[in-house]
This record gives sequence, C-alpha cells and structure tokens, in this order.
Amino acid sequence: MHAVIQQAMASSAVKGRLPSSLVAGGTMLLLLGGAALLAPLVTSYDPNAQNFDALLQAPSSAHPFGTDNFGRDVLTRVLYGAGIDLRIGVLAVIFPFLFGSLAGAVAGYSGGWVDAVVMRTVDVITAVPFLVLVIAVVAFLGPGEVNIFLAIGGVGWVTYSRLVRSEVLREKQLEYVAAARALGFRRSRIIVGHILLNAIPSAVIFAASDVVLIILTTAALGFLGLGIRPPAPEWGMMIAEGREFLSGGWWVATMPGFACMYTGLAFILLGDGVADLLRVRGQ
Amino acid sequence: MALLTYATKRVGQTLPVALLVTILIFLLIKLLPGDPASAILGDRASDAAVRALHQQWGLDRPLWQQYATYMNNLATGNLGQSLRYRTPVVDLLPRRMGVTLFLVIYSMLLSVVIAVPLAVIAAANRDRWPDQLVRGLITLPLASPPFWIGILLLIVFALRLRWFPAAGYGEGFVGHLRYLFLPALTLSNAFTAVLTRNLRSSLIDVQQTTFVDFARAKGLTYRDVQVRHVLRAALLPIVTLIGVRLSYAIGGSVIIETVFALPGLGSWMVDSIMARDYMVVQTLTLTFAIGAMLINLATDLVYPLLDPRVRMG
Amino acid sequence: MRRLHMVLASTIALAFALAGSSPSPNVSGQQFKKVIRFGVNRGAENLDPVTQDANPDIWAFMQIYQQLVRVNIKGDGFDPDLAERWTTSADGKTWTFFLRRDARFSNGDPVKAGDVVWSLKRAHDVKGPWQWALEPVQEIAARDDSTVVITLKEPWAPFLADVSLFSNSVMSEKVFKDAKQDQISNKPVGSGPFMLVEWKKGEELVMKANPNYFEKGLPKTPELHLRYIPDDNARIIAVQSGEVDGIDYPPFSRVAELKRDSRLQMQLNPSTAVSHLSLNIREAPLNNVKVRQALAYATDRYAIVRAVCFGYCTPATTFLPMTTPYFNKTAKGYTRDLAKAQQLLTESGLKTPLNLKLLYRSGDAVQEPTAVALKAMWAKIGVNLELEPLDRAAATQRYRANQFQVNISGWTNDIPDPSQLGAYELGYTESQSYHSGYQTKEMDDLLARGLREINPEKRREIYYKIQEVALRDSPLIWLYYAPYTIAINKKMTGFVQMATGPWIFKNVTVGE
Repeated sequence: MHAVIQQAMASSAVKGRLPSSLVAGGTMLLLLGGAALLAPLVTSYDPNAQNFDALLQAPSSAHPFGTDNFGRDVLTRVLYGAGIDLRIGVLAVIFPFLFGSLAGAVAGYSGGWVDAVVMRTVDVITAVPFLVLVIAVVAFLGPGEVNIFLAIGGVGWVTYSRLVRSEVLREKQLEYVAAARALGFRRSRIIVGHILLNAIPSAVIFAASDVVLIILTTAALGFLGLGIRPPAPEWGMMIAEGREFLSGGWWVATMPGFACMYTGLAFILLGDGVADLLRVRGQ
Repeated sequence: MALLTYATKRVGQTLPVALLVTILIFLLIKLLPGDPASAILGDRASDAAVRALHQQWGLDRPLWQQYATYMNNLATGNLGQSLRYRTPVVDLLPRRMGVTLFLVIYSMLLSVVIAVPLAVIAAANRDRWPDQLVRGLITLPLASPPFWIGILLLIVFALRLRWFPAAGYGEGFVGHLRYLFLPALTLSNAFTAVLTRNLRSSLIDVQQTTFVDFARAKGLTYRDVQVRHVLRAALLPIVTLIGVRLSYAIGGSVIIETVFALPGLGSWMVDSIMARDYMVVQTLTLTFAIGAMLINLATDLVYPLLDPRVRMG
Repeated sequence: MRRLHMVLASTIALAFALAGSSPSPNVSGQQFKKVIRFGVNRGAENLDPVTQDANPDIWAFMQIYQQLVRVNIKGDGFDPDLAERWTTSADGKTWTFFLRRDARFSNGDPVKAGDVVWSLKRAHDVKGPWQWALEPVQEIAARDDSTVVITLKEPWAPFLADVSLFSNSVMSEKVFKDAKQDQISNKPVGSGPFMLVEWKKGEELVMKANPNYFEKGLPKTPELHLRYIPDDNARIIAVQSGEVDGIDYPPFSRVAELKRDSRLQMQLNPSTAVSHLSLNIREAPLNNVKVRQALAYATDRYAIVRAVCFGYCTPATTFLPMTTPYFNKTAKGYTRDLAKAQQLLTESGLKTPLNLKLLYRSGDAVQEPTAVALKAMWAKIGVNLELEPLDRAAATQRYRANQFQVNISGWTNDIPDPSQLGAYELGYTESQSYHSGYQTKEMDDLLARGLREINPEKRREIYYKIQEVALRDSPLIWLYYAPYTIAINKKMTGFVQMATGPWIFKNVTVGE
C-alpha cells in the first residue's frame, strides 16, 4: 500500500529548492488561514445575523457571495466556516495519526500476538465501510464537534497503523537495525529512534490527504443531518442546507463547495510537496 | 497447491474477525438511543402499542439473549426480518445488492476508461502542459464533496440538457446504463484521480527501464511498445488499487445513492441505521465485512499471478 | 472495411438505445397515458389500516380500501362510500348503515355487512394508534348482508367523523380472518378503485385498476405507480423532465420557481395541518405560564412563515388547523409583541438570560430552519435557546420520555372534527397533551362536553371556549398552518387532494 501512495505522489523534485507544490499548497493554506483568522476584520456582517428583507439575494457588491435563506451573508459564513473546517480537519487527523502510527509501529516491530491483536482489531474496523461506521458512532454519541472528532478518530486510526506497520516491517529487515541491536541499543530506542523516523514520512503524506477526507466526511455527515449543531457555518452543513435552493439560490451551496475544493486542493498540494521534500532529502 | 493452502489459511483467519464484527455492530446499533418500535409506530403511538411490538420482536429480552438468538438464526441461514418492511431481509437483499454492484462496477469501468487515456497523455508529455493540465483536472473533483458534484451533474445533465434521467434505477440492462451513468460518474471521481496518477507514474517508470529500450532496439514500433509491454506491466497497481477502492466505493455509494435515490445497499444501510432496523444493519454489515475480506483475499491471490517476482504470504 | 461498418452500426444502435424513448401511446387511439407515475418523498411500509401511522402508508392504501363514509374533499362533511345512506336513532345511540349492493373486493367477492363488522371489530380490539376512534362503540352487528348496526355507549357528536377514519377501512373477512400480521401489512385486498399488484419496498408501489370497482368507468387510468424519491431535488427534476407525472411535497423554497414552470401546475392544497412547539411544563422555567406567554409573544410567526414556508403558509392563531369545523376565525392568538413579551418575562420573576433547549430532528428541512429562526427571535428577549438536533429515532425517544424542554412538532387532523386534536393535545390521557404535561379540570370538562354535545350551535360555543383557554394556558406555541404542496404535469387532470391529506387518483388522466 505504501508503495502505491509513494508512486501516486511522484512529481519532479529539484534538489536544493522547495518543491513547487509545497509552496503552492502552503501559500493557499496560509491565505485561507489568514482569511479565517481575520474574518471579523474582513467582513462587517455577523455570520448569524438574520435579515428577512434580504432573503436569497444574488451575489452583488453588498454581498459578494449573495445571501442565504435567512438573509445571512454567505461570504461571511464561508470565511467563518473556514475556521471551523480547518480546525476539524487538522485536529481530527492528529489523534488517528499519533495513535494509529504508534499502534502500527508497535505491532510491526513486536510481531507475535501483539501484532495479531492489533491487526485483527484493525481488520474488524476496516471490514465495515468507513462512512457507515462513522455514521453509526455519531448517531450513538449525538451531534456536535467533539463527537465528530471521537467518531472519526475512533475509526480513522486504522489506516495509519496499517501504513506504518508495513513500513516498519520493511525497515526491520534493513541492515542498520541488526547493527543497532548488535551494538546493544534498547528495543524502544530502536523503534523510536530509527524505524519510526524512517517510517513516518508515508504517514505524514497520507495525513495530508486524510485531512481532505475528514473535511469531506464532516460535510457528508452534515448532508445526512448528523453534523455540527446549527447555526454554525460549517461548509458541509451549508451545502446541505443550500441543497434546497440550487435553482433559486445556487450560490448558497456552491460557494462553500468551492471553498471545500480550494481547501482540499491546498492540502493535496501540500501533501505532494512534503512527499517530494522527504524523498529528495532522503536521497 | 501453495495457493490453496494460503487461501485456506486466510479464510480461516477471516472467520473470527467476522464474528467480532457482528458483535461490534450488534452492540453499537443496540446502544443507539431510540428504538424501532416507536420509530415505526410514529409519534402518536400509545406506550402500550410500543411495548406490544417490543414483545413481539423480542426486544425486551436481555442483550446477550438477543445476540444468541441472532447467531443461532444465522447458523440456520435465517437472516432475520426487516422490522420496517415486515419482510425477511433475504428477500430484499438481492435487488439492493444488484443495484450497488452495478453502480460500483460501472463506476470502476468508467474510471478505467477515463484514466487510461489521460494517464497515457500525461506520461507521454511528462512535465509539459498537457501533463500539468491532466493532473490539475483530476485533482479538483478529488477535493470536492461528492454529493455536491452529483447535484451539479444532476442540474446540468438531467435538468438542463435532459440527456439523462434524474433518479431511480430503470428497467433492463440498457435502462440501468442510462439511469446509473451520472451516479457512476460521480462515484468514479476519486478512483479516476488515484488511478490516473498511479498509472502515469507506472508508465513513466516502465518507460525508463531497459527492456523497453531493448524492445525498441529490436525494431518494434513505439505503438507496439506502449500497448504490449508498458501497459501490461502497469496493470499491477490497477489490480491492487481496485481491491482497496472497492470497499471504499461501497462506502462512497452511500452518499451517491442518497443523492440519486438509488435503492442500493448503501442507502439501505443508512436508512436502516436511522430507523433502527436492527436485523438489516447486522446482515448488511456482515455482508460488507465478508465481501471486503473476500476482495482483499482475491487481490492478494491475483497479484502474484501477475507479477512472479512477488512472493506470497 | 466490414469491421468499420459493424462498429458504426452498433454505435448508432447504442446511441439510439441510450437516447431513451418516450412512453408508448395508448393502443386504443386516445391520447392518454396508461400509467400514472407519482413521485413521493416517503415510501409506504405497512398497508394495514389498523396498525400503521404514517401518511405515506395511509395515502397509499386509501387507493385500495374504502370506508363506510368518506370525508368530502373540502374536509367539512361526509360523502357516502360503502354505505349509501345511514340513519340515527332518536336517542343518538344507534347508527344504522345501509350498504350498497354492488361493491366488490378486487378478488371478486361482494362486500358484505359481515366484512364491515369484522373490520370494525378488529379496529376496535387491536391496540393500534387509532383505537380511540371506536372507543364509544358498544356493539357492532350485521342485521343482514347489507345492513350494519352500530350501538354506542352514549350519544357521540363526532361519531360519523370517527367512522370515516381510514383505520376503519373495510377489509375482506374471508381473506384476512386467519391471516398473519405480515400478510395484512403486505398484501391488502380492498374494494377501492385500485389494487396492489407489485411492491418493491423502498422503491415503488405498483397498483392496477380494481376490475370489480363499483363506479363504472373508474379509475380512468388503469395503472398507478407510486415511486419513492426521497431527495427533493431529484424528485423535482423527475417531474420537470417527465420521468414522473406528479410529485408530492416539493419544498416551499421551490414553489415560486415551479409556479413559473410552464410544464407544471403547482398546487397549494388546503390542509388540516398545524405546526407547533410542545413546551414541557412540568419543570421550571416553563412551568410558569407567564414565561410561556412571553415566548409566544416573542415568536414572530410571519418571519417563520417567510423563513420556512417562503410565505406560503398562514400564521397560526388557535390550536386548531384553520380548516377544522368550529375554528374561531376571529381569535387573534399571539402576534409578535416584544414589549409585552419583555413585560411578561419580568412579571414572571425569572432572571435573564434564560437558558432553554430546543429538541428537533436533525436535517429536517422544516424543523431546522424553524429552530434557527426561533433561536434568533427569542434571543431578543434574553432567552438563550440551545439547539439540540438529534436523528429521528433518538429525538422520538427523548420526546416520548419527556426529556426535553421545547420540541418542534406538528399535527394533521385525520377527521373533520376538532375532537381528535382536542383530546390528543389538551386532554392528557392519550399523549400527556403532546407530552407537555398539561392537564386541568377546566379543560377536561370542556373536552368531555364537546364530545357529547349534539347541538351544533352549543358545540361551537364549547369549542370556542376550548380555543380560548388553550391560548390562555399556552402549553404549546402554535406556529403556522401549512398547505400541502403538489406539483403535477399540466397534462394531468382530475387530481384531487383531500384536506386530510390522501390523494384521489381515480379521476386522473394524463395526456401524452
């Protein structure tokens, strides 16, 4: 699997300079993050202020992204929503990344029954389609940001463990590990010190695209009515709410959709760039 | 012979996992707040009526007993009854499964049909503008919410242009092809992107190896080299990816089936979770689990056949 | 060269196949379609009149089953159905129904008094959601094959309305006497204009004309398909592109656009629906009537109608839907008055900000905008409304267990009489007054009198008083009356929707 991902990220890398995709992705994200942080300064509207005299107005100079079915300014909501989605995307990937990588590393290095237990657990969780399991867990826990973290985290860590485990298995056989053991280094030192450091890059690359998946999953949950509590301007919920108005108010759902696309693209470029960087450095 | 023992070993490992899956889902769905009786009877049902249904369905017995009954039924081939539709699950399953399989396979075929030419163009023009364009184009849908893309396609191709129908499954094979084109296209986006990138890298890698130069030295035309050697060697990642993507695709079909109102497994699964139709959820989960494991097994078995360099196990 | 021809030919053939075809014309030469295709947003699950409780079920089996009498289209009176005429005894306790002799079930059997007796006894005995309708009945008997005599415990004002309820559909005794519940739910056999032919659950319900239906020449179109298309966009596209000939529940947000569509006829049919909030008055702060009244005054119904119905609903005044008999047209109800609301809140003695939680079904296209609008409105009088969206099953459970403070809900009258809603919403016994916990002797007395007062004028007075008291005590906040939205192809004629909801397809024709 890791070979597949590495191949997927292939692009031209120039030694000595930062990969162009990294720069592009990073810049896009900085712009987005900046806009999200500075939102209160950029727009004068309150994202939740309802104006029943200005329902579903087309984009204009007063409302560059138009207004929604409550008269709320869509641009403002998209900017404030950037904060929410970025936060969810980045935070919801940290736990799976850390826990999953660790579990995978331990499983891969230890082998034996530890490996069997971890991997069978992973198999069980993987057996059920990701989205379905997340839906079930969110239905169990109830709506809200924290529960979405828990659901995605509780289900999403498995891919990282598979990834890191196969990397660790590969590294285990390399010469330097045998050398280190011969030299008397403790097992844990070997795991953390050498193996993990070499195995982590794949996980990092995957994490970048995983953020995209998380943002889309959150949007999907919003689409199914299991998302963040309204009236929060989360993009997925905005698309779901705007679904009704695709003919008479296409901007309500389209703008957050474009924002999603922009963010997703940024993270993918970032992931590509990091992959290039690590590959170049590694050589 | 080695293949057979390997396959048997893997199947043997699958069974305990499947068992654990049933327990996990059983607990999860039973612990969800709300119950099917009041969901089905509606807000206005009396408490007595709700209790009566609970009794009839055996929902008032302790959890472990319900699980035992479920497993017992499973062993005798009884997949349970859909509480909502008052029909055995096994009666409703084939049609739903047919819809989802059609959709998923259709979308994978579309992916291959779209990805192969794109990858060839990109690889042939490496780092020049066609390559950049292709890579940019395929990334965009990858970053977008699938239901959003689906709805846009609906509006443009079903409503404005009237080229395709808006919802449902249609009759007959050709009917299915028409009705499922837009949903399959929406579902294919992610796979197309990954496949194109992969295929492109494989093509580039293979192009650079010596045996291609050797073949060309022998006098084969460029076209022959492309088609015969390069593509065949690049088939490997496709096979691996299909295995992985198939189970993702089933999950992805959930949203697509909802948007296009397709009566498939994905939408049925979500509806049943919402309606707390326990038996359906359990049976479907088991179906998914076994299906996913079989696909993984199949992929692992086929891989070494294609590439003798890879060892099994 | 030959290969090229073959490729070209098959490509063209494929193209034609994919281009699709329009429905084949009627063989007899008329220009009407043979099949009505109707898109619905919720699929039927249980076609047993006695045990089901969902509009999709009811509206589907109402094509198949008949009752003794039927509610007229306006929703304020009764038409004969299986009973040609009926009489009441002088003391009001005995009702005699004379059945028509030419009614037949779809399997050819004539509809006899025995079938009526069996069906009504079952409706009376089975613990279903409609048992209340036959509660005052003491005895049901068949005097002969065409006469049914029903004796009541006491004179009952809404009895005819109760008997017309769809749960009192007449089913074939012979077919269902020893049948299991599954058969009753899945294989209806009725005497109505249509009969069930095929049912792909969750997909499509296929009905064909009942060859033994007593109204000659009906139904005008021999086949009816109810197609389940839950997604609003997909359903609208389906009717716009001609996939289906009509749909139900296009959302209010699309009404203006559909009105402008030259292919379609956009209908807003009067309904017996009312949307409201249940307030859990068992605990503070909602146990204080001044708080409830303050909230009622702070609610801007016009704004909710704009936000939720895009202006196509009517703000509610009393607890009754406006099509109900004895609805008080002059009652003012609660109009938005922030000053008064503030004053009441101060009088209540409670400090602001007041924290309340609103329970509703997540993702619901009506409940969610209502919730969002309310949050902003009530904030203006210092109420902090926290929104609690839960999925349907979870929300239902919390609601039934009274674990909520404010809950969004709605009601549709199933009979043209105020007694059904009065009992359910204000009379505690059936639903703890919509789970608000409201129960007063004054109201109980009024409701009991309303059920027994036969004189229409006196009955009107009673129900006017009930409406007044309900407004004063405000255990619920009534929001608006919503019409049914229907969009049908202009070529469809004869479509009618009753105020209580069911569609009537027997007179429908769809032009090619």
